[in-house]
Amino acid sequence: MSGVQRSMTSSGLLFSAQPSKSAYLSRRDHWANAAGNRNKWDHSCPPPCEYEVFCAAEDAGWRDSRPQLWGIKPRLAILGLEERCLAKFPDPPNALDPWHGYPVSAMDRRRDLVHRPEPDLVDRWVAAGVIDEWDGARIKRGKV
Amino acid sequence: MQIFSVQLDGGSIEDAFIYRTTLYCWTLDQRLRIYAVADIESALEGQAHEEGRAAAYSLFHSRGIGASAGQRQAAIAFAKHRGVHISLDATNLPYLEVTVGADTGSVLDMLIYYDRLYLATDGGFFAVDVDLSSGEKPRVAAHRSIRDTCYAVAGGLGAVAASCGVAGLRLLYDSYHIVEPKARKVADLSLRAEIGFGSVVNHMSRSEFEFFAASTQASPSGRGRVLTDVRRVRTQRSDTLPDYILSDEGGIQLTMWDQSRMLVFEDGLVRSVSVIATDNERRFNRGRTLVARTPTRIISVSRIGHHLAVETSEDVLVLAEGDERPRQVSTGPIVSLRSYQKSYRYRRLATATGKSGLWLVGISRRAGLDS
Repeated sequence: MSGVQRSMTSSGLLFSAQPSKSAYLSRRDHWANAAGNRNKWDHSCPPPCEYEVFCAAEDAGWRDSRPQLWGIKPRLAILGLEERCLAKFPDPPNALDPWHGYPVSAMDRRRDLVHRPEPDLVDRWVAAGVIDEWDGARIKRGKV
Repeated sequence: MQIFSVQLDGGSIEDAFIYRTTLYCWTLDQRLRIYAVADIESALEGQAHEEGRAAAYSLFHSRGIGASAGQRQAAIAFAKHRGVHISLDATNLPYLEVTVGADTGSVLDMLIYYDRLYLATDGGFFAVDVDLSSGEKPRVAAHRSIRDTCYAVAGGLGAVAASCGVAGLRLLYDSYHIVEPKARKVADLSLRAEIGFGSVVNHMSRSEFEFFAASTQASPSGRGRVLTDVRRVRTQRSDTLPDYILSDEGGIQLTMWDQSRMLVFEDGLVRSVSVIATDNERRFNRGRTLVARTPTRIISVSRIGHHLAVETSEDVLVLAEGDERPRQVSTGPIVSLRSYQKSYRYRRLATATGKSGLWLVGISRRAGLDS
C-alpha cells in the first residue's frame, strides 16, 4: 500500500485514488468499535486490511450479476464480527464517489440470498485457489 | 444421551441421503456414488468387532428394526457407554458410481421420496430415477422440472416442495402414486419448506415463514393421504403467548416446523410454540423453553428422535431438551446435515458431509436397546 494517501474525514478513513485503484472510504460506522447495528469489520481487519480486501476484489473483478464487488480473504479467514467471512462493496452511485464496503453473511437477518454470492463467482474463487471446494460448497449453500 | 459416530475419510462426498437399504452420495465432481448399507455394517463389524456391531445397531436400526441378534447383544454390551467414535477405513468399501447425465450445476440439497431422487441445484430442479436392479451398471434417467435455481427440496403427503428463492415455492403433487412432473407455484419467495401435520410451511428467510393449509384426499394407492391443494392462511397469536416470543424485533436466528409446533431459535434458547390449526388460521398458542442453552451462531438444525442436531461453523452439537449439556460431534465445518424423521429404521440417524469426510451419527436418549 505504499504511495496510497490516506486522510481522516468525518465519515472515516479515505484512501485516495491511484492510477489503477479507485478511491475507498473505510466508514466509521462499520469499524469494529462502532456503535449501532451495522455490520462491522473484525478487530483483526482494521481499515488498511479492509482496503486490501477491496483492492483484491477490484483487481480481480470479483463480481456476480449484481452491482457490487465481493470481498474474501484466502482460506475464508474471518474479516467481520460475528464470524463473517465475506464482504460486499456496492457500486458507488456516482463515478467520482469513493467505494465503501462491509462484511456480510448469508445468515444476516433477511439477507439469505442477497448476501450469498452467485455460484459462478464462487467457482472463480475456487479456481483461483482463494478457497477450496469445500468452502465453495458451503458458500453456495448459504452457510457462510 | 448416547452417541455413536462413524467417520468415513476422504471420498469427496458433498451430500448424502440414506433410503431403504442404500446410501446415496453426491460427490464434489458431480457423480452419484451408491453404497449398500449392509456393506457398511459388514465393514464396521470387520474393523471394530463388537463396537462396530453396536454402532451399526445405533445408526441403522432404530428400535431394533432389522437388527441382527449380534447387533442387539452388542448394543446391550455398550449400554453404559456415553458414546463411541469409529474412523472407518472405506478403502475397500464397495460402491457403484454413476453420472446423472444432466448438467445440474452445484447441488444444494437432495431428497429421496417415493423411490425417486430429487436434486435441488443452481441449474434447476431435477427428478432422477436410479434403477439398481441391473446390478453393477445402474440405469439413471434425469428430468429437469424447473429451470430456476432451487435451494432446497422437501417431501411429505405425497408431494415434493422445491424452494426456488425469488422464483418462489413450487409444489409437485402426487398423481396415482407418482409425483407429477409439473410444478405449481404457490409462493413468490422461498428458501426452504416443510410439509406435514396439516400444513405446508414456507420459509422466506431464516426468520420469516408463512403457513399454507394442506388439503388432502385418500391416496389412490391406498397408502395414507396425499396433498391435493394448498391455500395461504393467516397467522395469529393467542393472548397467552408472551410478546417476546416470535417477536419481529427479536433476535430470531432460525425457525423450524417440527411435529405440529414451531421451534424458534432466538436469544440463545430454543423455544417450542404450539400451533392451533383451523381452516383459515394458524394460531400460535403457548410457548415453552425447550433447550436453555444454544450456540450463538446456528447454521442449520435437524431433529433426530428426541434430540436436535445443530450445525455451527465448527462442528455439530447435539442438544437435548432441558438442562442436559450439549454434546459435540467434531466434524469440522460441514456442507450438509440431514436426518430421517419419517423413516422408521433411520429415525435415530443423521448424516453429515464435509472436508473431514462422511459422518454417520446415531443418537439415542437411553443407552442400549431403545424401546
